[in-house]
Amino acid sequence: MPDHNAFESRLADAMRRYAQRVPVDVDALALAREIADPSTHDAGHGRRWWPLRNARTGMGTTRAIPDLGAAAVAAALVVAIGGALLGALLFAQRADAPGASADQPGTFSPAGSLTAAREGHTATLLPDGRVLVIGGGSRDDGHALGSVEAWDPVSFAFSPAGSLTAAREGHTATLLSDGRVLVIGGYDGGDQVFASAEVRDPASGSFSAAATLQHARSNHTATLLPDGRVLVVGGWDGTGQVGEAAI
Amino acid sequence: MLDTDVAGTLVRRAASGDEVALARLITEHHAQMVRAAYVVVGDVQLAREAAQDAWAIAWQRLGTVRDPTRVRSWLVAISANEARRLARRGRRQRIAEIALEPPQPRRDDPAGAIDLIDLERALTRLDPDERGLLAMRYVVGLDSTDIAHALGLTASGVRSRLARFVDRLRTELDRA
Repeated sequence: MPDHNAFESRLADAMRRYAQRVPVDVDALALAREIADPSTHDAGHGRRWWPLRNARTGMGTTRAIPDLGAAAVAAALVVAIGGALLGALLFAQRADAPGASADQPGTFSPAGSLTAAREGHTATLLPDGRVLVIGGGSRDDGHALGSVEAWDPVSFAFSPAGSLTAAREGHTATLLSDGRVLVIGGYDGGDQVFASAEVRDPASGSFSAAATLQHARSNHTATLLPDGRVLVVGGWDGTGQVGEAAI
Repeated sequence: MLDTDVAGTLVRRAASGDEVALARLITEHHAQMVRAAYVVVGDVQLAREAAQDAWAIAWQRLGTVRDPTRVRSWLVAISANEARRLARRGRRQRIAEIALEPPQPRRDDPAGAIDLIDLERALTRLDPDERGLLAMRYVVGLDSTDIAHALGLTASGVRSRLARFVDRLRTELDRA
């Protein structure tokens, strides 16, 4: 036991030295004001929302909406800080807002809530103006979601829109020229990275298995080429970065 | 460390929307929240992000704090949890990480101080939950009762977990 205690003491010293490598400077009052700013609260839902400057990679995605009511031209689907606790909100950015300009295109306001808070999802603009939100990670238990929901630009509401064949996050979703949506790769929220792909039929809204990648990957890119093929580049395979591309 | 009365007043005032009281809490606890997050996630940027996210969550829940003397363990637990969440996703999105700080030379001093390069390598063998618990104990200096309260465990459960994780770290360090 004395030996254990001696090691524990050395460990505590080392861990403190290790942790002190990170800078901890903070403007406490500025941070407090940002957190307490009532303009970042969505009173209608009793939830909190943030300006888009707090959106971050992997926690949100944006899609342009060409015709949203009168003149809104952009919408951003953002998982607010706090995820499951705070809910997920859609912020619509109106280009015709007072004082809007190319540099300052207006402000964001709440435009509905997802039925399930998620991050690492995709948002795909469909030809009919709806935005299809696919999969993503649950903040509650860390598992990926298989649920899909659609945001309606008329009602500003989300509704269930089917289920993936495999719950996944970190995938890509590519709108094909015939209206189908190709979902590629991703991971299960744990260590399983998918090589599988699935496709959504626009008529039925259901997903079915598509071709399988030669190399499992998540957090890759998928680009629709002019000839209808989809170029898949890079990503993560669970152990390292993927250096190859596939079509 | 704030005394009990001051801590209680600050928590109550911050929970009622007082920005200055919240700033005092941030001044008092932010550093330890970032450090604990750093042990969990091993990335400076993600650690700072985790602590900031933790404040946003804490701000909403401050009114539920029943024992202001335990607010530090409560805040650190939230920060460690946010770091764990970011670690799980960050590892798949990180392209490359370059240490700006030159590695410290290995020390062979009589007191047997653990080399930080070896420690960092050993910590990567533990999962983020385990690193979070170690950070709460050895970086923040919380006792097993406070940790248990923050994590919803028993104090004896915390002690047995810590003993197990320390043994694993020791094994890893012995291999270095």
